[in-house]
Amino acid sequence: MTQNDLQRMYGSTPVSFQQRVAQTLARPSASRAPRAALRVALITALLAVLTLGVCAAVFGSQVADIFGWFYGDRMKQELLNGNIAQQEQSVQIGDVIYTLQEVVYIDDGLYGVGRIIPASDSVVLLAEDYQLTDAAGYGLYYGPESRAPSGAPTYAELARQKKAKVLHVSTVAEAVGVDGGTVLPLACVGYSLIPQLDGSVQFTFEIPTGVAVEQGSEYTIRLWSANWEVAEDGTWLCEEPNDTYQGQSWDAVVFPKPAKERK
Amino acid sequence: MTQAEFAGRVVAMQDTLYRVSCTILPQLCDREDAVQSAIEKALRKRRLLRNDASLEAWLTRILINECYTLLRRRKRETLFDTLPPQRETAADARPDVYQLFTSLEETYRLPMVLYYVEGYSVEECARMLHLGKNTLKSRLHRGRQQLRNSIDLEEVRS
Repeated sequence: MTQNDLQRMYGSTPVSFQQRVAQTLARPSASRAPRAALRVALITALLAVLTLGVCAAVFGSQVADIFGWFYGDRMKQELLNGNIAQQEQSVQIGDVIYTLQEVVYIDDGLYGVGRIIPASDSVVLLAEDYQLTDAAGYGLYYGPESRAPSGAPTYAELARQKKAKVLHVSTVAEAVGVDGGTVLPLACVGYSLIPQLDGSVQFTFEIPTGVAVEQGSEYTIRLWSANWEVAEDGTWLCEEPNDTYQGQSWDAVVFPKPAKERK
Repeated sequence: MTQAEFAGRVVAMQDTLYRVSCTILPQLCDREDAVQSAIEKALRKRRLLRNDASLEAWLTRILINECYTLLRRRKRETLFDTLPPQRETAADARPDVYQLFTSLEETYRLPMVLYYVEGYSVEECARMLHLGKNTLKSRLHRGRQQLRNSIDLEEVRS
């Protein structure tokens, strides 16, 4: 038996382990944490706390609203006090427009909200995890407040009514770069797609800090967005000979600012 | 050593870092946390490294410390009546040989892995494990004895 044989007993180094090494090395601040910067950060944090009440009243935040709905008022307050970027950036893929609307950085992660809308009247959007037989525009996984009333039209009925095609839509954050650094793939992202009564789909993502994400003044967020047609019987038309799949990765660059600077 | 050189050498030794963390930590997520902490510490302290040539051994030492710190934390967190976590292995690992090594007593496992699997010298292993050279040699001897009937290690460091 040779040393190589012994090394092979462990198998290949998992990709997630390799990613963690690369991500740790790519984080620019891992090697330098100047005290002055820390002091500035502490002073900024103090000012943010002092101006909290005023700012929360002046500035709304979709991210705070939606994640506050998910996780409660404490989370909402934390997000309102975070660094917020309200810079809409869009991409159109076929008959669908994807827009990243707002991103908030707080100590434990990067949170984002956006909207997917049809680019024409002849399209009905069906969010990931939903079926043609579900009531159109109502969330299935968000408790009684989003439950559909009886008799609400389904996606299939709505499409027939409008003579529209149904497009299955999805979007998710797949990589992040901080302060112009390398855009690194994410090992862990939470995301959700929530149907809206106006026919749009709201999307959210949450990325925990510590791996690719850390505090910065500029974030490049790489989103993967896609859509494909769903046949009347619910079949996804994303394979030959009826391949309607359209998808792409796109970058949105945002500059979140603390509440005080957003005045 | 520039940051780019440092990063290059760390990436080049990531398989070693993985195997060393496997030797101590049963779960992949903990191995990833340990390697992240180790690299962060090494980045912060790299100016303290007097001899650039010993980066690999130095980082391995830091990783071993991080692994044990994490293991101690996990032990505190784990209830006494819960089962220890299953050791996670890569899909293409050789479970027969791997199991032999992981079944070695803890005292012998790490010296055996550093010496036979990673190819560090007796001096380097002794420094990494804060052991005297003779203690290390005797641990290698006992580790070999435990594996004697299963693996022929003579070729490995002949």
